[in-house]
Amino acid sequence: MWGRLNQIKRTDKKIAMTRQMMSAVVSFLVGSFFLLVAFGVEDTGDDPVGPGIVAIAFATAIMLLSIVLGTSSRRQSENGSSATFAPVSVFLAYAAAGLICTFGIRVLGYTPVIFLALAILLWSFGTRRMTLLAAISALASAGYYIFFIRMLGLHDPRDLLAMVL
Amino acid sequence: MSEIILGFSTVFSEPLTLGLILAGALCGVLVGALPGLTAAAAIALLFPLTFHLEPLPALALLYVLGKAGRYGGSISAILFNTPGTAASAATMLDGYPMTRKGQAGKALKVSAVASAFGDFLGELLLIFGAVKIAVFTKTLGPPEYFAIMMMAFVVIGSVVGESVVKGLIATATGGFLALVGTDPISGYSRMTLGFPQLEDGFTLVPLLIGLFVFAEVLVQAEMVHSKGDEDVNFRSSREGSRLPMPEFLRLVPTMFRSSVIGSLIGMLPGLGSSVACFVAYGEERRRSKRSGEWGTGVPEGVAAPEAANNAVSGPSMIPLLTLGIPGSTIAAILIGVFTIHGIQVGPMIFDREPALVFGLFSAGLIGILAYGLIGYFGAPLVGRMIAYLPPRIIYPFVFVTAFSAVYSGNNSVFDIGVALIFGVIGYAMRKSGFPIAAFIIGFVLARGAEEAFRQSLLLSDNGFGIFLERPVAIACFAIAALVSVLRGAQSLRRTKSHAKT
Repeated sequence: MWGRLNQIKRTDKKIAMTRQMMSAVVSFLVGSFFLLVAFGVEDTGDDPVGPGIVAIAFATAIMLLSIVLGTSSRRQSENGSSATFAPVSVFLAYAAAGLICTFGIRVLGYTPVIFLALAILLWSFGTRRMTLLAAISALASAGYYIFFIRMLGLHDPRDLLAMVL
Repeated sequence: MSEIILGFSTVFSEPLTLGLILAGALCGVLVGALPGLTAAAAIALLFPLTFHLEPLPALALLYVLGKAGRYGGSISAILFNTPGTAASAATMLDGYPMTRKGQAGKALKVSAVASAFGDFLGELLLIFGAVKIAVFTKTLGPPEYFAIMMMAFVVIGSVVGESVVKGLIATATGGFLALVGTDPISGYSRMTLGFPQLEDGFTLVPLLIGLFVFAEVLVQAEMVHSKGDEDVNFRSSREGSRLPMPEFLRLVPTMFRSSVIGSLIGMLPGLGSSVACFVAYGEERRRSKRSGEWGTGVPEGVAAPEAANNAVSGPSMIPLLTLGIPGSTIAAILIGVFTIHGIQVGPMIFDREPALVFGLFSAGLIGILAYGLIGYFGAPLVGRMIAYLPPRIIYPFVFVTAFSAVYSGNNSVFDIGVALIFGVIGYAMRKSGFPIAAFIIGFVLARGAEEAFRQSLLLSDNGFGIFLERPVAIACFAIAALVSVLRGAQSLRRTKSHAKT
């Protein structure tokens, strides 16, 4: 029993260490990319240090701090982070709703985009009855249309409801 | 005193402002009570809708929304043992046991009264303290400003999260991204990676909505999958709903002491309501003669954290109004509102825009009264509403509302993409322990810090030596170094003790 408990503790620590190391590596890569971009800023000669210096300082700080994070990962016990991540279906639903919102708004217009995004997300959050899902999405998209397009004057590239009504 | 009368007369002469204060109080209570949605998320969602308003109604709406949101978090903490906001985490310790004892109504009343009490004292400190401090900060030049901002970077980065290093990385990342776009001194474009939409830099609205709202949608989706809908039944007897006058009077010293603690913590950049509520709870428990009963449902255990976390609200505006440095996430968002309306935040604002500043203070006081009354009489109703609206229904609506809010800012598809990407970044940051508040404050401060740094060097005959010629600048650098060393040592000690266990 005691041995099993210790084994679980060791596994948890190993996961925490790996995560900490992953955070450090990602931060280092982000810092390196920032540094590369910051070095690309042209010096204008308008002031003593130039427009890229503060950006270079931030990028360097990120890289140095990520090294500190990486070296301390063996001692860290992963404070304040959750052990679980959302299932892939959640990310797929988020990506699908996001893509519809981003690319669909010009093609389909505001109201169909709201309908589709809402339907996908309601499904991904666990609403499985199709009639209920369609009814909620249809009613809500009409409500959003009235509030955002009609009352607040938001620009709708297609405005299909205006053509129908 | 004449200035605050001017503020009240400004607010009462504008029915729209008054109406928006009441709307902000109601929305704040509702949104704050929803587990997961913070006051900052609500402000981010409503931010684009205020673009077409005059500065005072826009600021009054968002300021009161932030205050009421802080209070609203206590409703779900008391009724469902789930804090609506991090600031209400300590309220759960005695609030939920009171609900289990059939005293939900009393706990909600104590929470409303204590929140309004603490917020009122904090607001008075803001009104009378900010003007006095602004007289001093008016004399500061670019070197001092740069040093103060560097101190804010380090202090905020060090204290807002669990890990000092992660906090500083988040601050530096936010700071770097703020520099993308046109250079304020030379006027040249920089680091836009060829995207013309980034010429003016990242817009605050998609960034905020991505980090606070879309990220929260992902978190909630994960929780719905792992836990399902929670049982949210609560009950309160008639006796358990009353807050008799003698009992209220018994709570006044607790509320007063906790408000002082909250106000002092609120003035320090980075240490927000979530710290204040636990400090006040711990202090009051230590002082109490019945400390053994704390945690089993004592009204003082609700009054102390609620008074403290709401007392933070007013004083956290002091660094913003006197130095242009946001002391909290909400203050950072409010800087965006000031900027959009072309108002420079800093000590001169008291001379240039007295009607706006004192109008905002008056709006805060009216807002406190409004959410206090809503909470006192309507909190059980809000609780029931939330009980009937499970996250699996609410959060898809939050997503499409956020999408509409982002799109309404500039009618820009690019902004929607940016918000969605920052949603994923925000989710990853939360999962890996990088504090979002540090990122936002870094983002808001960096441009000002860069300008102050380069202006200082333009003014200097002695290169970087200019920063060592000013006592205020030296003091700020010393404080920054001290805080980072102390927090680093504390973090190391904690890590060692974890390793031992």
